[in-house]
Amino acid sequence: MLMMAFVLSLTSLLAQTKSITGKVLDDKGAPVPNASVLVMGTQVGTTTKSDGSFSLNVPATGKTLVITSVNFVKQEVRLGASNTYSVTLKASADDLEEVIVTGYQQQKKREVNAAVSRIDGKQIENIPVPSVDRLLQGRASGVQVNANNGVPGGAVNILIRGAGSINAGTQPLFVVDGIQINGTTTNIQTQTNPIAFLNPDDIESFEILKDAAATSIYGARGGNGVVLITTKKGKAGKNEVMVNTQFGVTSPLKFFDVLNISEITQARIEALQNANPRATAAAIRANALAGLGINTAFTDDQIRGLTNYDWQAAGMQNGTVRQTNLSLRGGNDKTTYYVSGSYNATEAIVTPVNFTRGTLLTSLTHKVSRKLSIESQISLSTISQNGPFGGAGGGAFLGNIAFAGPTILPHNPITNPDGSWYGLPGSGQAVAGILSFNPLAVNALNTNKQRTNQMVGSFTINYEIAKGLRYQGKFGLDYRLVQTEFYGDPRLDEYLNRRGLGSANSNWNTNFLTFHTLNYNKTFGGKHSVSALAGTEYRNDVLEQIGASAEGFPTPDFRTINTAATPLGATGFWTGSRVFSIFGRVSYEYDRRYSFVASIRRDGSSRFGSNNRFATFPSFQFGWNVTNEKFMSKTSNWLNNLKVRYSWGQSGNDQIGNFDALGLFGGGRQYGGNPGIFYSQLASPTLRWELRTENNLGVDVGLFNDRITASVDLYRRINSKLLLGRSLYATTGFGSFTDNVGEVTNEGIEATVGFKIIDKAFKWRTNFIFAYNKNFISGLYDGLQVLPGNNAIRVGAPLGSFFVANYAGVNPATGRAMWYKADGSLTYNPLVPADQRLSGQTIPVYNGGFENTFSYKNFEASFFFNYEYGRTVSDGQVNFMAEVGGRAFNGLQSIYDARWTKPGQITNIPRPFNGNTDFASSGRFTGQNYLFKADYIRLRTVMLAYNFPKELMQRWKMSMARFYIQGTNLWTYTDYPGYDPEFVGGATGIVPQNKNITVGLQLSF
Amino acid sequence: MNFMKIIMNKFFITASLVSLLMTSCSDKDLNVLPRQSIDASTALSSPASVDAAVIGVYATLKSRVLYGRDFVVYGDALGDNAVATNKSGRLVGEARNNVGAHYVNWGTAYSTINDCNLVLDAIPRMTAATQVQRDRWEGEMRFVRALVYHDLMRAYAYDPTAILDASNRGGVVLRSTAVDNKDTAAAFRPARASIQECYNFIINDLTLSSAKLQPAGVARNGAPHFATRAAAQALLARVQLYNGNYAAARDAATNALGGGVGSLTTAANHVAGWRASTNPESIFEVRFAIAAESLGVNEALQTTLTSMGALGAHTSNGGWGDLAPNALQLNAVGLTGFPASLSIPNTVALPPLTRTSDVRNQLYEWGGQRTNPRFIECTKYFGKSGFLNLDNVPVLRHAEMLLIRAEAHFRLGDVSSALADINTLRRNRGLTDVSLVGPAVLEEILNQRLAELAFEGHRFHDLKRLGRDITKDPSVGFTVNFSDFRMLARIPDGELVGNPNMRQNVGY
Repeated sequence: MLMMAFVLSLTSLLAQTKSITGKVLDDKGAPVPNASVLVMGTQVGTTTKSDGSFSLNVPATGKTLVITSVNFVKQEVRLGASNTYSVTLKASADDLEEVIVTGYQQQKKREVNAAVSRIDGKQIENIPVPSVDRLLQGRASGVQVNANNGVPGGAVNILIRGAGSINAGTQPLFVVDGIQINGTTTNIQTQTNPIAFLNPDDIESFEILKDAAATSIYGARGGNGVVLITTKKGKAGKNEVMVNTQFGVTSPLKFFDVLNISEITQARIEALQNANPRATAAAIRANALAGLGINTAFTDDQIRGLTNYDWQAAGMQNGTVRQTNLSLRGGNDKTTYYVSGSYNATEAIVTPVNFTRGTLLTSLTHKVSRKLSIESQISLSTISQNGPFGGAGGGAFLGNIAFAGPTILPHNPITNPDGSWYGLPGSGQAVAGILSFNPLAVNALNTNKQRTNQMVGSFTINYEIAKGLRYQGKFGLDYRLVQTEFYGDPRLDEYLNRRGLGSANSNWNTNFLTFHTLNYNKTFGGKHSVSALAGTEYRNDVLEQIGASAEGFPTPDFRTINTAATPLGATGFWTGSRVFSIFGRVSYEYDRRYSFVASIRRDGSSRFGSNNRFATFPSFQFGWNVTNEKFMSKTSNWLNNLKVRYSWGQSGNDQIGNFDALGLFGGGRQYGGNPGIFYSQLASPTLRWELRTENNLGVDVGLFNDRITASVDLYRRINSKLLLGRSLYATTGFGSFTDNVGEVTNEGIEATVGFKIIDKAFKWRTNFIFAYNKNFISGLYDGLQVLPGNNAIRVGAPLGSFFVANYAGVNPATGRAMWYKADGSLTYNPLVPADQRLSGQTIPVYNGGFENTFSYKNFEASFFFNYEYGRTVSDGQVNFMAEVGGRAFNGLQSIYDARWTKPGQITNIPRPFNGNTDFASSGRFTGQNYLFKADYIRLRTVMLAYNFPKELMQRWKMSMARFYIQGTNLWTYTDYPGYDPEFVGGATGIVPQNKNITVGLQLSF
Repeated sequence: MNFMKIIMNKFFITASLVSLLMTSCSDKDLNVLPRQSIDASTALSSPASVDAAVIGVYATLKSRVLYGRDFVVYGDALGDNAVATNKSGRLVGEARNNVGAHYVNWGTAYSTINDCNLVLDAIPRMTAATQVQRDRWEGEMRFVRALVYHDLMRAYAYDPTAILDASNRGGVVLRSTAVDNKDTAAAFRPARASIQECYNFIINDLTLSSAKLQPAGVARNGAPHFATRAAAQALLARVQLYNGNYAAARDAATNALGGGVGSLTTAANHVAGWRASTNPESIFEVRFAIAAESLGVNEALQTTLTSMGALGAHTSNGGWGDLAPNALQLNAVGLTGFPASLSIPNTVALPPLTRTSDVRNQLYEWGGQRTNPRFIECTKYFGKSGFLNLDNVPVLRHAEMLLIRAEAHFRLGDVSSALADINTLRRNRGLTDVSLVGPAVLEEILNQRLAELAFEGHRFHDLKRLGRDITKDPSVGFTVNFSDFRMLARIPDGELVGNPNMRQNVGY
């Protein structure tokens, strides 16, 4: 009966309709296609065509139209007597309706209560960096980014909210359009970066999932944070062509102030005399001069008269940066596309180090039916890089010009008058000093090449099963082939006797991923909004390598290993892992005031022990939009947004070797031509994930209609069950086995504060990014306070601590370096570990950024600083250069000037000593005296742009033309004595970073 | 029809989701095994795999901290017969006896010992192997274990013939069974055995090794690169000399000399012996066969000791030449004519060297052009295996056996037999006989040891086992007294953390 009445009434309603037409435009007057037009309270609706128009039969009861479109604010239009309507939609970029990608789905920013930072592609536009991860530096609170070195496209170290692991990896997971990228870097001839395949201009946004509640949806891979990268997609509407080209120069950040040969001679004489007190002055002088390759009969004046060549200037020169991108974007209501191609050629300041990349990105979306749509995305890239001799990480650092330039003895000529290299074998010329070869010739003649071909592609199916219920299935592949080539030229000393050495390597990584999700969204009663996500994922990741080497080449013109006489060796390996997961997320929001999100993920990973293969990671988030409460209406004139967020979650870290849980006998040993095996690893069948548990409390504030915005987060992150190589006493025959022991805590505050200082025709906006992180080891195992075998890993101390003897300066009477003993007395020989103390840490305590943007009419300008404070590092290069006479190297002027030379002199620099270790003393670089504060503030980018006027654009039939000039790393404030305070690691013989200035032109039709 | 299609679609999607869930979730699919390693629990289950594990044990002897470098040159660097040239900076600390600049073989040695123990534990299970095979494996593993244990004792403990009681913290940790799981490993809290317990353990291993390797056909082809009964006896002779059991040392040396492996070189072929891939005198020699086994341009023996690109090519460039003989060493082989500073600038013409008839001095010559100044270098290791920086290392050889027996005879009061052995060696090195009495005989034996065994890692240990002070080269300018704590190496710190049973050597 009731049913009957319903049907009847429906029929009667259908009978009384009114036909209307209209057009939906954006605030610039451009049509908005694919906007949804719905009669409020009914199921009646349509979507706009490519010209923004729509037509609709409105039931008589229909009073209001609701128009929605992605990236626009929902608009309601009251229906009146008219039959045509023009609707202007407001862009939603700065609105709380903003959606953000949170992993497997987009969520309304308002409903996300975990710690997530978003960086818009616009913010980092036109900065010419080979890999986009460097762009995150200082732009998201709590995300610390350090370059490992200045190799373009080289590896970058990223810590999100400090480091949570002692032995397992600390790098975040990168997810590009849903595809988890394999984080392996292949650093054979130079360094690679797993996301260097991305063209920065193709990036729509970065979303950085920081706390465990946010990363929990990535389960065992989310423990170090997740960086979600979304690339640009097609857009229905007018075809849009964008051309962006820029050109510029790179130049060195720093040259060292080094000694001339006369000063080096003096230092060597002192060093030898101090080490050989009984030798005569004449014998010492002869020995010193001989060691420096100077005629032993030379007088001081003659030595002063020797030419000093500037090897640093010869080795580190200006390079060029060129980058061109071309993109096409458009489509209709059925099919949209984005196609882009780019070319980037960057030269480092150290020849022959460079980076050349071509990329091609194709993204297509097609609506097969009203319910079914498919997407295909293919990103192809090819990168070729020349590395420095000896490897970018500083392996054979003597050959790296950044190391050798300032340390080679300066009276060695660089080239002969005829332009040929000085000091090649057979020339009768000898390069004097420990660097007994010509480093420029070494880099010019040898080949260190690396080529990366990468394909990241996916195919996606979207199907609307029922209203509000959507299925998405994605199949993705991240395939990477890295080929390397090395050739040691037989014209050089090192390869002369073996007549050249060649090697070739291929590494390929096949990373397959598929996930399938069901997504449900429903709003009922007007106040209750529910969304749910359920999914399953499978990832299979395999890395393989083969390589071969050979020696004995006919002439230097033959450079492939098949032309060599003697094969030397072959290498190969295979490694792989599989992960299977199920996951889900539920969100509920009441009346735009209270929101609650809970998620759970269950992961099974091949990396872990057979007894502990599966684990579950839960999370929940709670948010309260205080400004939407009725009682806040009085303050709404100045407080437009106040939100309090709390989240708790767990995620895991599985970044250990693929086979660490297994007991293994390895091969690879051989003796007398027979192959041997050995017990390489003890089994650890209970091995499981590192568990990250985190509490996060956040507040978001908007004042005076968002003239001032602030977002502050407090967190406490505890990483327990650490994947630690648990040390064994060496007498067991094993060094360690991997176990789940120990705990690390990170506590901190992050803040982002934005000001629209002036918001008229002249606009000035400022952003401060600040993060404080306190990191400490909160537990080991068996009650140990110190990790056996590593005295710097101790309970209460930060990770990356230095545990060394405290330096007490130089004994004024003898010139010998002294250290403090545990009891405060002085010694020449501090004991290990009894006299050692904690002294600084490599992870900074504070870091962040400071950005200002200005615009006035057609002009735009911005400058951006980033900073780090509270970091201490040891710099291998500076240590070498502080020897002053210890060996036949060049050194730093500042150290030379301050060295101890006579009794009574008060200084911190000990007397020069041949071999650097004074009689019955510890070495001069023992302890804390050669640790340096690596605090800095760096002017990371400066940009000035001019947009050509609109009238001109219309006349030229263009939509935009922009000319810009930008600079990177132009200024740094630091006391750090080495090349760069930013480096991670020993910094010996690595390619320094550079500064660059580029000019560019961006056109769009 | 359309309705059916939707139903079918939904069904298809749901079914595929469910099937994906069902099929991929199994534990079996998450079993990914490595391809360059095998499961440890079943690794030593066949004779072929045990044989490969035995090869794996020999391979460890090539590591830098064992016979790759340290046990060949540290005995000279720490002693009184060599100087560091400070060309690459390597060995400077050792040549100055800096604190902590000493042997670091602890970890590697115990890894080798556990590898030996794994094979020894597996042998009784190898019923598929012949008795001859099983005996050979046991003899080989006991030999290698004894060799590595004796080297641990030489580095970390006093020798039985000269113990400084006040500083004696005992021998090293003895292990006769294998560690093969993490629970045993994590629970192990080792303590140092006494010096005598350690020597008894080593002597027992060598006695059993000799017995097992005795029958004909038991030794592998390829002596002296693999253990033989002669090698076990030769090592036993050395161990008993250190142990002060001179009669046993004498008898073992006699067995080794008559063991049929190698023979004493003569004045005519001694130098050629050092140019051959395998030294004809070797009773046991560590084999470096292919280029990939080289320790490289910084640490291999050739680069450590020499700097020319080819023998006699003094204007060529080769390795570093980090360690050079001093006047004491050069005079011992009958070489003079070099300046007191031991070095000359590259630019100066080579001073003529005066050489006696001792053929051993032909293994020394002016170095190459690589970094100034030029020192006299020892050329015992000069790419003998056919590649740059690739040399076999003679560990036990006939001359050492003669010298051990001579010293044993002398200690036992049989001076004439001692002189006979010494003169046999002298005649085969281009020298004439000596006729000495009293302590001069012992000094002649020690001098011959210095001349014969230079840069084979003996000098420091000879001084240490005799309780003598080390008078460093005048350029270093000090003496390391026998009572100095630097006579013993430092036990790695990690061994002491959390283990109350373990004791560090005095001074560290």
